[in-house]
Amino acid sequence: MDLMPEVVRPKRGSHTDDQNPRQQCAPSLTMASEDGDHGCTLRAECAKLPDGKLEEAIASQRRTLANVGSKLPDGGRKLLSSIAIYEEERERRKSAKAAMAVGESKQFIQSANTSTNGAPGGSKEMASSEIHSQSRSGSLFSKKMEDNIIRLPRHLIENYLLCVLAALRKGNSMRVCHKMEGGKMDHQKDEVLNLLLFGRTREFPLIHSTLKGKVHLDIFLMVLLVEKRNLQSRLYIVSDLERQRETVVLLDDDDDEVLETLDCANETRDECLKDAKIYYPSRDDPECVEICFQDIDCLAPESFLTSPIMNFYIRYLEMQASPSQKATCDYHIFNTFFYNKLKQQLSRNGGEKESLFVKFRRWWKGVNLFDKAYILIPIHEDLHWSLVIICFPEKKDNRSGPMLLHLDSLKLHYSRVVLEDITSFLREEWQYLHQEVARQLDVEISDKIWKRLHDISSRRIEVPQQKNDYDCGIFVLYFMERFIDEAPERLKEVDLDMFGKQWFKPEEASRLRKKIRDLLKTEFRKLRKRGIACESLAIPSGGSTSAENSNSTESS
Amino acid sequence: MDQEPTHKFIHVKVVGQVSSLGGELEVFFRIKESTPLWKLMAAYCRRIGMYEVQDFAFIFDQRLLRPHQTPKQVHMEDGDVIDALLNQTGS
Repeated sequence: MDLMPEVVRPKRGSHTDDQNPRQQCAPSLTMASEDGDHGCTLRAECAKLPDGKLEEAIASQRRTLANVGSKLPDGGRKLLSSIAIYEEERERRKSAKAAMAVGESKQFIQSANTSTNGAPGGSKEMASSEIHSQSRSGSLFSKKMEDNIIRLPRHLIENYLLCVLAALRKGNSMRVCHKMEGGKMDHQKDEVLNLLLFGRTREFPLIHSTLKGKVHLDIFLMVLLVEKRNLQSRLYIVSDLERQRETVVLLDDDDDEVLETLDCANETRDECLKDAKIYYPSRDDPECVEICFQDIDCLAPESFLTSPIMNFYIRYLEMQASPSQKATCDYHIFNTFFYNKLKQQLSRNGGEKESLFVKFRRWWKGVNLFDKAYILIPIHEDLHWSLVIICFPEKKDNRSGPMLLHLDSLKLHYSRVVLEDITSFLREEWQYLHQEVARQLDVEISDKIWKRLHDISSRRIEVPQQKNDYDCGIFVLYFMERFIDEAPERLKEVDLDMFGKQWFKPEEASRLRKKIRDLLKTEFRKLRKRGIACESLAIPSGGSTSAENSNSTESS
Repeated sequence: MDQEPTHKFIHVKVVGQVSSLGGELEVFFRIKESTPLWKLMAAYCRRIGMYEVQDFAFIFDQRLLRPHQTPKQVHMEDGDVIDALLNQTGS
């Protein structure tokens, strides 16, 4: 269970040797050692500043850095590190404030070694409990942790979380991060960590070098996630700050913005239906989708569509197109998770890959993809939905190969990347089938067809664009619906005229939101009529499942 | 549901996202064939922390697993892998 043995544990001396003023002040994690003295005095200084002055100081140093930073002999390094110290102090004060406001200050084990022991009482905002916890210096890596997992200093986690929240909101940085998955490019993974987590890694030499060495993103995230309590209180802080109309300044400097309040609960709902679930098309269908009553919330005006609703409507469209047999239908629609899974698959390399692909093929078990006229794949990435359509030519047609179309209502996804992924997926499947055919000669497919299937063309298609920033899911579903309605038996290049900016009016797509909601509401009403509305399978949140838990083992 | 509860244990692996930014985590479970899967789901979420069961889509062979199903019902076998993917949302 010791996920990060020795990795972030600071030298014992820095905690116990209180006689040494320098070690007392220079935190082992946040300052480069050569900057230690500078950092020490600065820390003491900034702890004395009142809030307003602190803000000013940060702002002015930032300006200086922006103007002359690059011309300084050290490239602005020192300046950067002082800004970091100031910001750290500000963050700390904020947490302290919020902790008091939330009344959970007990939970805040301040990272004792980064604080201002040199100037006690310098900041009046310091919650008394915090000072108390500081006196137990070393509690940072407290041994009596429930999870046996070494914790990171709080401010690191906070900063990280803020960045993640910001990235999630803005959808930036994530693209870079996606490419990092699967360990294909380990050094770049580090870069992303630097970018996301630290912004300025120089001040975190220990962590920095550690990450370079052995700690992987997943493990690191895991460590963050076991900080559940802390993270939750952090979320409170965020919403709390929001209420106070304060701005949370994020680590990546130009991202100053107010974070959205995260708890949007407290909505009064139909109590009876609250826990109700429906299964579409039916409970016994092996590929049915499950929709909770709460899932309908995302169909409220201006809300982002979530995967349960997307998958529900996909299933609905499939049922409309071919209610009886999925295998013989001309269309195959993958669910929203397929593309994620595909990327995971593509990022793997080495000998395992083939066996993994065999497992991956279960995702379309019993379906010969190359028999279909169309395959529709919803793409989810960077908080955005788009759609890929694969059009297969007729079997008799020897000239044209499969056509890949990318439909994006915001043009946000990189069509090239997405289409390349799908192309390599098709090739892999093609190769697999080809080998299978070679092995068992009872399937006859002429070489010509094989060759033609290999000849894949792909393009981004002009489609109507959404006029807002919340309808992309709706657009993807509407693209599907319209396409299934209007597409010819087999799509040829000349038929591409059916798309285009004028395909439909954006309002028509937006109307789908209400349609889906009505559809679901009807389903739920049916459920209530049948009087089994409350057959919720209440999942106990308590410890009644501990038996299972103790049976589980963890790998890292 | 199963007529007669079996006491046969199987070992399954849950491979999951720990954040929408990426990062994977594998958790191994030993579960009775007749145990409803919500136990596994709940245990997985507890292990991960931060997320609730409904934040995930547990997928086995492209099928969405439902909490009341048992490994036996979905023909899960020793060594099978369940994907835990975070529910998606987007603009």
